[in-house]
Amino acid sequence: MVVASHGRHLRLRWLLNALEEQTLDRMRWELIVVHTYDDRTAARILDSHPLSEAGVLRHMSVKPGTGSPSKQRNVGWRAARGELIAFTDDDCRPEPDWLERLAAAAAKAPEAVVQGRTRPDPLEREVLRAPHVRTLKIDPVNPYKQASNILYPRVLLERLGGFDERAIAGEDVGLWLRARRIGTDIAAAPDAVVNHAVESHTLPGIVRQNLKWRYLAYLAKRHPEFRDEFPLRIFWDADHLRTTAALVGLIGARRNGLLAVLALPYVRHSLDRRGEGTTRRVIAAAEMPGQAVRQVAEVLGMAAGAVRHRTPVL
Amino acid sequence: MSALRIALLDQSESAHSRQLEAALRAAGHEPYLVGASTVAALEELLRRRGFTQALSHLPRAAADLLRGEFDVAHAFSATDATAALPWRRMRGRPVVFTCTAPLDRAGLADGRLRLWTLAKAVEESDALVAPTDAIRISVERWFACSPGLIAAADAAAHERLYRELLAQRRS
Repeated sequence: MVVASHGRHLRLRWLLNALEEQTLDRMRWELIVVHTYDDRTAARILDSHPLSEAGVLRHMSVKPGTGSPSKQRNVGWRAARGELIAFTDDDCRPEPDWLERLAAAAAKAPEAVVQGRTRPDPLEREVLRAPHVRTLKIDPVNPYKQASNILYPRVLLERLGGFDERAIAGEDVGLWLRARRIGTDIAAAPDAVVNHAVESHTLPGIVRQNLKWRYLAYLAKRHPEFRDEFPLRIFWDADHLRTTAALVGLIGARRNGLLAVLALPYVRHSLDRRGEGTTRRVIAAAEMPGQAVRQVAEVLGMAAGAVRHRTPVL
Repeated sequence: MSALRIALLDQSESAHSRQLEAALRAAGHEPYLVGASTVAALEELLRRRGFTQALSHLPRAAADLLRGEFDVAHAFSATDATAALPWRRMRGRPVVFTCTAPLDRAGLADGRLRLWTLAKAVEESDALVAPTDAIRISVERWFACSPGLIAAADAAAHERLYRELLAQRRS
């Protein structure tokens, strides 16, 4: 299995601890970590780990500032010796039977890609109360084929040439779209579970982080067939559609008050985001301005990406 | 040698800090338990917003530290250590963090700021102490660093550590 790591050395250590508890026989798997850490940090976090001492873990570094998830994953799977390559992220905590379940699903569908389930880590659920949270929830099979929990046959990776290193975001779905083009199937492994970190951010922090999604325009340009998943073939997701409609509505309302109606789906959805009940609605309402800033920034970022790559996507 | 003035920051008022306070006092030093009071209503509000560790005592702890002319700040929780780190920047004195219970994965990131405060406490304190071997092993497992093993009531070993850190800071 392959993990790309950058800027999360403690989370990486916790991932290694989770992998140490895998039920799949250690003779059947190895772990390659490709990271951007200095020698001292790598020695502390990786070399000192029992998986390293057991010969299960190998790691290699790329020069700080030159790494990216796609590049690091490519270095990793090319160095791996297995016929099946499982990917997860350094902010994930796989369940003990994860590899065993993933391998079992791969045995049933030998040439297919296998996608497992990713859920917000139950151990970190309290963090979900924060207004700005980053986590991941995937019930396989989903359209985006994230690398937090996915397995590719090595021969398929070789045939495809691995991840597209020009893609700064969405490299995982890009890989799948190329695999699909050549007729590859995908199998779901809902019982192969990975728990994803739940991290709270400040508003500037989450805005900064989400700006990377502007690079998804590259993906839309390169894989026009992926637009089938977009609402109206232009919007990345329903959130972006609602946010754009609300923006148009509010700006247009200066000339024609009726246009403010366009903001209603956004307001309604925002008020429901914490669930039902008065208290939850009050919390959602209090969080709405911050959420609006985040979402508008995200849509504007996508617009900038659309201009750069000359393709309509928001 | 002159007596040391040591701030013992322990919101949880654990047995560790009390034992150490008694032992240091018996050894002729001046230990002070600082910033222990929390505001219950504020804590409840913070808990509902996903903060699982006590935070409301921190302003008071930071103020007490600044007023106290201490030689060393010794924290017994991650948040207390986080409050002591700005004091170190201002006063140039060392911060020691004692981890008082074995760490497990369930408690490492179970609330907002939890991982941030733990990581700062463990990685940025001048010294990291574990009072028992079980705690030392757990810190090594989850944070990949080796704390010094010093029993809570061992005033002599703590004094050696404090003086060593003060000497390092002076040089």
